[in-house]
Amino acid sequence: MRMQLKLILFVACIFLGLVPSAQILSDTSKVHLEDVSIDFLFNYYEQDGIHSPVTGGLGTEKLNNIAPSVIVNIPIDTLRSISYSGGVDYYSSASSDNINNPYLQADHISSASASDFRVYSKLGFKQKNKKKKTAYTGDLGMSFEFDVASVSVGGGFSKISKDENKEFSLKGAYFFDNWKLIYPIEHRNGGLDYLATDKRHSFNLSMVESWVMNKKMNASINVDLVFQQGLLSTPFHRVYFSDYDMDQFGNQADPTASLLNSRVEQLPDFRFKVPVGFRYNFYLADFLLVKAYYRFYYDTWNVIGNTAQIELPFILTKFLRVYPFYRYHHQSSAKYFAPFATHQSSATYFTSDYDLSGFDSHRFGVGLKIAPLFGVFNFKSKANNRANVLKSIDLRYSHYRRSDGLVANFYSIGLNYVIKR
Amino acid sequence: MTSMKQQIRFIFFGLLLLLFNACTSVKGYQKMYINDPDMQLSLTPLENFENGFQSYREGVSGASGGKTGGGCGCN
Repeated sequence: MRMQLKLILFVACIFLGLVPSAQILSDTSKVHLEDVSIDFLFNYYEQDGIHSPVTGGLGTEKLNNIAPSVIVNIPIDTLRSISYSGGVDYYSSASSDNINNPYLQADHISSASASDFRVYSKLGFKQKNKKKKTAYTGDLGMSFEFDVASVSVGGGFSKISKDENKEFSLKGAYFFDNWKLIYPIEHRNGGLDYLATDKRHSFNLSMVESWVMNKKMNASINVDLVFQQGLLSTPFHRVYFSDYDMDQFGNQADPTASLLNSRVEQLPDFRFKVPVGFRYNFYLADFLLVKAYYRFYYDTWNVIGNTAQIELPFILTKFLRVYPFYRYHHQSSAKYFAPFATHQSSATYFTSDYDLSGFDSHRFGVGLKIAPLFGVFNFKSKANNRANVLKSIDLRYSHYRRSDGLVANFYSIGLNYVIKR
Repeated sequence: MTSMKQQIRFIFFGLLLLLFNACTSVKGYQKMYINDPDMQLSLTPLENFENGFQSYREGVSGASGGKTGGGCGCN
């Protein structure tokens, strides 16, 4: 019994990085640990449009989101590291506010859903094997907002070729989402359940093969397989019909109450997605890189997507780089989508969510990176007697336009801070 | 629809040609350009943020190292 307890304690200590691994114990030479890296990120997102799914595909999509976050990577020794990422999304959404406003009245009393926040965090672990050139990763994550609680668990494996010019990695992740079913106000009549479940399961499998092609070129191919099962409808999305005869339970509808003739969005409880992405980076000249990305996407709801992006990092000086970029996306409509009041009431599945419609989108913007050789500033901390360096500052802005009229802006600031070992 | 398929095939095979063109073995000491942080084949944290929001506003996600499923953020 004591032996078993000792064994369990030893395994737990290895996982937490409290015991040096065999490879380190056998390595008598002095090793240099990698620095502790901390990224402080601050993002602001705003959007506006006229096709909110909360009001059946018609109505404001105005939304603002403030999202500070932090990513920490701590090497325990030369082979193992732990990481943490976490943050908060604080948003105000005119669209969500209309969950309690079926008549789209401008002066309605604002509800609690007008603003909300989401907190999320993820803890990761990585173990490398230098002899075999392999690495294993594991992570646990969670996120909470008013109507959804999620947990995730993931694991991965990667192997680098002998000449270190190729790498293959395989990652798997499982997400469990538990929803609080909040229906539009006119559908909260006596606790009727419009949706079969309040749980969603997502399984993601990701395979990446990357190559160093020559001294100035590298590329990768990324294939994901995503299975989603359970609640794939959003409970507070309304759908209106062109021929409203029956309500959601097959009862004769009241033809005089046209604005109440909505139903709760219904989508299948299964979705299988296959995105395939290619990345290609090329050091075109000493002052210019070309970064290209293309993705093909298919899923079982008949959404077919093609996405292409090009970024041209310019090296202006040794510590200043500029990143102009452009992204184009085209997708076909999901087979369950139709605009406001054009669905047939005989349909089993229906949505007026324009995120699932057919459209083209364009995003363009620019980034700026300031990264002097010895950091933006550095100082020696009395607390840990180590050099602390603000290594780089990143600024990024992009503008997004969707062909249905949705417009969005992204603003981001990133600070990379390191503690020398 | 046919022309769309042809376009996809053209892009796909064009990229394949690009990928497998001029592959040579590169030694560690020759990787000055490859080791540049901007030559990374993954998203930066700031790109990851944009990618996350993009996945909500488009019915398409994945194959970019970012979010592929799970969680909400559907407002």
